[in-house]
Order: sequence, then C-alpha cells, then structure tokens
Amino acid sequence: MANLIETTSLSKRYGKKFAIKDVCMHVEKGNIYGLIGRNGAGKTTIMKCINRQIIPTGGDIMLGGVKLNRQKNIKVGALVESPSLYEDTSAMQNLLYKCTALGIKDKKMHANNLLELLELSKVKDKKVKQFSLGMKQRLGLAMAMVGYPEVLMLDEPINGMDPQGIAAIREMLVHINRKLGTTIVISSHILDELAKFASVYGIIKEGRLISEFTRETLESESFSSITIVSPHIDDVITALTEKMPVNKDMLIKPNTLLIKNGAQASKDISRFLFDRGIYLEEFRVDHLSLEEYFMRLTGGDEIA
Amino acid sequence: MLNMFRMDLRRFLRTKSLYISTIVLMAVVIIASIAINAVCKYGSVWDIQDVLSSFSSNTDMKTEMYDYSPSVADATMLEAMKVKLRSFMTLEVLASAPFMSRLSYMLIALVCVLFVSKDYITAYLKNLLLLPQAKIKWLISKILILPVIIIFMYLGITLAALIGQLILGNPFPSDFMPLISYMAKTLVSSISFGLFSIFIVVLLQKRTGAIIICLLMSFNFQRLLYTLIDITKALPFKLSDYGLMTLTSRIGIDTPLPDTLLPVAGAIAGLSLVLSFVLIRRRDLKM
Repeated sequence: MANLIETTSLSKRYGKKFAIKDVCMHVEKGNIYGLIGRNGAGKTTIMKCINRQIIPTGGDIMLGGVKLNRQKNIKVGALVESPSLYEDTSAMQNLLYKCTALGIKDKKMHANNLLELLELSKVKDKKVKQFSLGMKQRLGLAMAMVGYPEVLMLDEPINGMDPQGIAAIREMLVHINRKLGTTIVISSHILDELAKFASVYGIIKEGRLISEFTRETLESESFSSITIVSPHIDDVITALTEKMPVNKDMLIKPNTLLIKNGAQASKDISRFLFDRGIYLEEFRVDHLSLEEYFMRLTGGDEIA
Repeated sequence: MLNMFRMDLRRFLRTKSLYISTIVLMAVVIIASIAINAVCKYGSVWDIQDVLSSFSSNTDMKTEMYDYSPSVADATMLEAMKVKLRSFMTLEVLASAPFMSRLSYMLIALVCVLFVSKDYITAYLKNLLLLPQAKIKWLISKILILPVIIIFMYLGITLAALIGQLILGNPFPSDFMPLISYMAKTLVSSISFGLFSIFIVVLLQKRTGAIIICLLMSFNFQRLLYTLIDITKALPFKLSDYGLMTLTSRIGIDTPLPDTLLPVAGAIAGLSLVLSFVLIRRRDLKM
C-alpha cells in the first residue's frame, strides 16, 4: 500500500543541537502508527513538522505523494502537546469557530456530532476554563477531528485521562480508523495502551527513527521465554538436550524449567516432548510486552 | 480566506477587551462633558482656562479666553466666558481632545494586541494549520479586522461625544463632516499603528512583551530615542520630525494633515506588513 505520509531525511535543528535527524518515516493509509520514544526523543518535533507548526531544517515531508507545502487536498488534524482552546468560551463555540474557518456548511450539526462522539454533549455550553484536564483533552481531540481530516496527529492524547476515558478514546480512535479510514499517528507514554490498537510502530531515540515495525512483526519477534513445569523434569532436560543446549542451571524451581530466548521454537518443543510421552503440568510461552521490546531495541535503560 | 475572516468577525464580536476599551473611551468623554457642564455652572476663570487647555488646540479661542484675567473678570464677563465655553464644546471638540487622541491610540494598540495575540497564547492557530496557506490567511484576516476594530471604537467615541454635547445643552449637531474629516485623518495613523502592533505580536509571539512595546509607542516613547539620535546629528534631517505619533498629535479639527504624515504612516504600515508576512512564513510557531 502507498505511504500516505513519508518523510525523507527529516531534520530539525535548534542552534547546534538536532531535535530530529534524518528521520525516514513511512505511514501507510489507514494505519494507526504508534510513535514511541522517551521524553525529548523527538516525537513531538516530528508531529509539529507534519502539522506545519515548525519548519524542518532539512529533508522532505510527502503527504499523499505530494510535498507537504503543496498538498491542498489531504487535511491533517492535530492535537500536539496540549489542546489549543479558547478557555473563556464554550466547547461548542470553540468547535464552531474552527468549523467557520474551515467553511463547513452545517456547522452546528457537525460540532454536535463531534461533541457526542467525544461524550461532551452534556457540557457543550460550559466554558472550557471549567473543564477538567481529561475533558480538555477530549475537546482537543474533537477540535482535531473537525472536518474529519484524512490524517490525525495525536501527541499524548490520553494524558490526564481516567482508565474509562482512556478506553473510550481507544475505542473511538479504532472506530474512526475503521469507519472513516482515518490514518492516525499517535504517541503515548502508556505503551501497553498503544500496543492494544496501533498497527505499526516507530521507535525514535535521540532524534533518530531507529526502527519501524508492524504489529505482526512485534508478535513474531517478541517471544521471550518458555516455562515448562513437570514432575519428570529430569526427563524433559534429557530429551531437550538432543535439540538445544539445556542444563540444570535453567531450573528456577525443582520442577520448573525456564528456557530464555528460545521461544520461537515453542511449537517444535511442545510437539517433541509430547511425542516422547513426557507428562507436562504446564507449558507456557511468554511474550515481550511492547515496553520490553522497546527497551530491548533502545538499549534497555530507556523509559518511554 | 473569507472563512477565516468570518471566524475572526465572530470572535471580534465576542471580544471583551474591545467592549471594555470602547466603554472606557465613551466614559471619559461623558465624564469630561459632565465636568465641563459643572464648570459652566459653577467654575471660575481658572477652571475655564484649564478646560480649554486640555480640550483644544484652537489658539484663537484660547487667546480670547486668556485675555480675561481672573483679577479683572467680573461676574458678567465670567458668565459670558461660560456661555462661550459651552457653545465651543461641540461634538468634534469633545471627540478630538488631545487626551482622547492619546487614550484612543493606547486602547487601539491594546485591543489589537489582545485580539491578535490570543491565537498565540491559546495556541488556537495550531487548529487552523490544516488549511492550505493557513498562516498567511490568518494574518490577512487579522489585517482586515483591524479597520473594523478602529471604526468600532471611533463610533463609540462619536456616540459619547454626541451624548456629551447634549449634556452640555447644545443642540443636536446638523453637520458631522468636520468630525468625519478629523477621524479620517486619524484613521491613517491608527491603521499604521495597528499594523505595527500586529507586526510586534507576530515578531514576539508573546502577549506581555507586545503590550508593553505598543503602549510605549502609543505614548510616543520613541520620540526620546529620536531626540537622542538628533542630538548626535548622525542624520542629515531631524528624525523627530518624522515620528508617527508626533505627526499624529498635530492632527486637529481645523488643521490640515501634516505633509509628512501620509508617507511616514505608509512606510510604517508597509514595512510592518512585509515583515509580518516574512516572519509568519519563515519562522516556527512557538506554541
């Protein structure tokens, strides 16, 4: 599938320091792209560049195959850093202003639909300064979605939200991604949450995009270990020695064997032990979480 | 472009600072009228001369009134002075008082900066960036709103001056042309100054800094700098002769537009426009 967003050697320098350098990012149409990196890694800078907030020092951004500056047909809605709202006006009015600027014909209906989608209908006439952080985030999302843009750039959109709110936003994003085909680029510190719905991931470290991988790749590469529990653990070790380097040092309990980094062959191992007729109480394959996978890729000491 | 202007027009109508500033301007004119009315009833020769010095640059009137010495002015003369003062305080005199002119420039600068900088401090401008050429459209829209702001405030002053004239017991004016002509002359400076205010906001992308600079400019602070430059004789001409606010202060009801005002106002407006467009296109948005 063609890339909807593609950056080539995208760089942004502040003084002598590069905030991002040579970022080559590929976001296919319809993807939910999770951008992961620790604080100051450059996630927000990439989003700001694509949202035209800042001007890149080098490189290109292609949107729908056309240079960003010349692209007039594909719209990018964004919630980058904090929601941008007029605090002394109501939620409805904030949306109506943007609807007017975008020339949306049935402004009120459009704004009402968005408020309903984000569960803000009951507080639509309340002034934004009276909103909680979570409500502001949701209104910020509604603002980003005005005119149903083809691309949504969301930087930490679930910050300050309660678990129910996070789940609701996740469902809503999946819904608009599936129903409207909206391509979403999202960053979040809550990697487990991101792992639940992103289809592609990009890992950024110190301003460089070090890896891009799909959810399938993550699932296939993130096997971590196999735990085998058996009353005949000596027989298990003896049998497995024929297939792989196994010894008694791998016993974590008297009847529990832990095989690290060999989990890709889990199916072979289970069949092999079954064929030998060895009774197993438990055979468990543990996967790496997105967070663990991220840490492995970034050197282990990173915190997203 | 038109949609962005529509949005700004909606916002303009809900801008509190615009209404507050206009009400302040109107209140000053009305309070001044009440004060003059009191002077006309109970004031001394000193009071009358004070009022004249604050309200008019009309030298003939001043000379005539200053000829009356408080020591020689008897009751009949005082009454005559009061009648003269009352009839002198017409719509255009009330609206064009020198202190009103300064106050209006200060408040125009304030409203402009508050209105334009709001999109920076709330970062609302970010929401509009999905439009093609959004930043340019945003700037043009703000430039188009500027005369609307100024005319709105002028209308407030005119209404207040009208009320003031009626408070003073003068008949409803039949001819608005002198006032319109005066306001048209000051509009040149106001628009130029407003464009300068927009440029300062675009340059600083900060509200407080922009307010301070524009307020200082509205009080003609730059004249001190021009005078310093003039003392050094580094330029072949006197820079203080070309100060926008200095030239603006010479605008009066009866006086013609200073010769150099149009070129100076035009140069400031043009430069502010060009720099604003360059800055908004080429600089990152700090939000």
